[in-house]
Order: sequence, then structure tokens, then C-alpha cells
Amino acid sequence: MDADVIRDVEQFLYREARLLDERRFHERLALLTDDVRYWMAGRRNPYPQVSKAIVPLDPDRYSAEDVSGGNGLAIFDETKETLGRRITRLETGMAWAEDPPSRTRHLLSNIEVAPGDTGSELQVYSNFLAYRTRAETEQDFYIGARQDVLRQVDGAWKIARRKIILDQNVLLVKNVSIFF
Amino acid sequence: MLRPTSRTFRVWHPRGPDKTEVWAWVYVDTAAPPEVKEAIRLAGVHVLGPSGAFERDDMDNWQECTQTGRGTVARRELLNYEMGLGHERFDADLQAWASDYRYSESNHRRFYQRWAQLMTAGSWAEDATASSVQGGG
Repeated sequence: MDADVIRDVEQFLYREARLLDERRFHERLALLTDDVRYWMAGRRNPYPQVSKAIVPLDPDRYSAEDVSGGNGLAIFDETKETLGRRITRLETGMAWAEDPPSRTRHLLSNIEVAPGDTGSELQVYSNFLAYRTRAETEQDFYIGARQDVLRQVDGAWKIARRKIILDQNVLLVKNVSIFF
Repeated sequence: MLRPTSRTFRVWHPRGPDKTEVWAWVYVDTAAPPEVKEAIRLAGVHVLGPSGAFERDDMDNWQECTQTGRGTVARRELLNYEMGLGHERFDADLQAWASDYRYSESNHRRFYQRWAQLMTAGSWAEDATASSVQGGG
């Protein structure tokens, strides 16, 4: 992968993270393609198949997969339209979970860039630590990985797909009212 | 509790004086067309999941209610749990108490009745014979 492309992608992701932390949500939304799927999976806590701790009652239904599939329940499963509605709702003056708003800091690392399915797309992996503090003393950490598809649209990168994998099984945060 | 906005089934576990654990499921009719199942799934994510329009605010509400309830003034006042009073009935099919009201405090009254029963029983044996589902609305 060309070093300039990698650097370009990194700068794109850092800028997106800054827009989120500065609560410039409309500018950030414009970085997504119209057909984006923005998805935060749910997690499971299964025993491994070799575990001596359990005997699956129905081996046909046993699954070691610990990330929920695309047709299961999720924390986010959004289109550009539903993400836009989430932003609109924040502006109603009645979005209590963000009133007063969270202060966030998105830290990105482990960025890998690989060829995508088409010549105009890239597969991009990254890890994130999103720190959220709110009100007087509340604080939460959201840590996980993202798998993005970036697409060139009119000479600029846009996010065409984002799969977000949080590492916690049961969420230890009280809610998810910020973006990733 | 069956919510009309999306199909969710919930069990609320009291985990001590200031803690409640909620288990939530989203369910669909087996015979429903795929697009209906998908709409219910997405409603579960968008409305009643951890990032949902109701739930992300409600978590704050519930947390603040709990904190406010600890305060000096809140402890001095009686709380009103009368919503839906007189509209409960024992449902023979469900073998449980049900309310004719969509929103009611029937569950709360029932919960505290049971709690009072446990707290005032002379012995565990005496309490164990008392049914949690019988005994007036």
C-alpha cells in the first residue's frame, strides 16, 4: 500500500474524530456515503467448543462466534438517514442524555489500510479508545475496533461502511449517546 | 411489560436498594414476513437498545430518580403509587395479575406488597406458604 495513501487515510480518520469531539456532527455526517451502513455489533460470552465446563444441550445450535451477526440485535444499526435523525434529536432541547452534553475524546491507533473490493474502495482497520465525561464527575471508556470501507467520491474519501466492535460483553456504560 | 412501540419483553431484577438489572428481549412473530421482522429488529435498536431514543435518556432518568430518592426531602414525603389502581385483575390464563391500563403502577404495588410480606413474616416457613400472586389488588 502506498505510504501517501496510508497517510491520507490516517489524516481523514483523525479529522473525523476531531469533528466528533468538537460536536460538529453535521460536518461529520457529510463524510459518510449516502448508502453507508453504520453498525455496532452486540457481543456474546460463549464457552469455547473444547471447554470441559459445559455440555451443549443442542450441539447444532452451539456457536463460538462472540460478535453478533448483521441480522441480530445491535447497539447501532444505522443508515445515513437514521444517523441524521439522531443528530436532529440532539438539537431538540429534549435529548436529556446529552443535556448538558458529553465531553468526548476519540483516540485512534493500529490503523491498517488494505485494498478494498473495488479500485475506488479501501478496507481500513483501526482501534479506538473513546473517553466520555459528563456532568460533574461521570466518566466512561468505550474501547474497541472498527472495520471501515472507505470510498473515493468526487476525489475525497467517504465512509461507506463502518463495523464497530466494542470489547465489553455487557455494556459497563449506562448508555450509548455518543458516536464512534 | 409489553411496549407498543416495539416488541420488547423485560424482566427487572432488584439488585439492592439502589440497583436494578434489566434483561430485555426483542421478539417477533414466527409467521411474520421478513420485512416486518426486520422493522421490529431495527425499532428495537433505534428505540429501546442502549443507544435507543428512549433508553439512552431513560438511563439518566432512572439514575437521577434513584439519587433524588435518597435526598432528605424525598425521604420525608410519601410517594404516590396509585396509577391504574382498581384496574388490576387476576388473569386465570396467565396465572398472574394483569392491568387493564397500558401504563400503571400495578407492578410497583405488587413488588412492594411482596417485599412487605417478606419483611414482616415471622419466619421463612411462614413466608414460604404465602403466595406472591394471591391476595387482593
